[in-house]
Amino acid sequence: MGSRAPLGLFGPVNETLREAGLAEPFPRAFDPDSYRVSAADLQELLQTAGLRDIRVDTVLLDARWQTAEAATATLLGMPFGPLLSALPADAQEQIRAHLASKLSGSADGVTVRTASNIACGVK
Amino acid sequence: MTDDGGRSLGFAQVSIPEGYERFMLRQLFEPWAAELVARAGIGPGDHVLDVASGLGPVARLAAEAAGPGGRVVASDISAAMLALAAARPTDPGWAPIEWLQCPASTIDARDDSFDAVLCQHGLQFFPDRAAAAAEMRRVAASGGILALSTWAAEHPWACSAR
Repeated sequence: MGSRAPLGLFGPVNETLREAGLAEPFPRAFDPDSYRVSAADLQELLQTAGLRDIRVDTVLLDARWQTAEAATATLLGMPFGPLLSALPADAQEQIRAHLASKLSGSADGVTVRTASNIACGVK
Repeated sequence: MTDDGGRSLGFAQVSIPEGYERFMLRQLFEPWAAELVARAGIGPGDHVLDVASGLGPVARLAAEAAGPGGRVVASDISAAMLALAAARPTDPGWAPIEWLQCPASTIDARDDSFDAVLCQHGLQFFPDRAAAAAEMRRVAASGGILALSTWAAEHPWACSAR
């Protein structure tokens, strides 16, 4: 991943799990690129499906968790949750602490910027 | 939530929906659902399908927009997700929500059934995205809208904002 800054939530999550040496539970599980789609690819997908009047907007939204603990607990709501839960308690805590350091929270909690492409087309 | 045997394994486990509900739904997926539903232009009486619905943030907003004369179907491959979603309280002023367990590649609905077909942050889990898009088009009515969202590849490493 080099020196690039990670994507709000999922980049740090993937990076943390990879750096912890965990085995991917499914192919490309820790590859953030596998969770993203470009506007051009979405446009082509809907066009190929036979839709018309296609529009794709790229939208940014900030998501906020009140504490670093809550932010790192998002791991439990992802497909990686069982992977984490199967580890000894101290290993789980290390991973969550490592993730918290990447999310760079403040006294006000953790805010991460997320970006989505939203595509609409008409049948 | 997912359509892929590999990627869906986690979502199928009971612990995942609970974590998703407690730590991701309100903070992350409900705000994004509002963005998607607004763009779909759902109106009173509309029939809406929410594919890979998860805990139903999109379905619930669509039900509110469609009103009591509308109809909303929320589909997901995870029975655990659907069970938790269905247990959440709804409003009598909303369209009724039906919870349907099926993959995005084989939606259990007739052709031309829905005025709007929506899918929030589910496409990245589908093993055959083109097949899923074709299936979503199949169940959309003529003149109906297909609206879907994905995490944006154009902002692959956007840093956190504090």
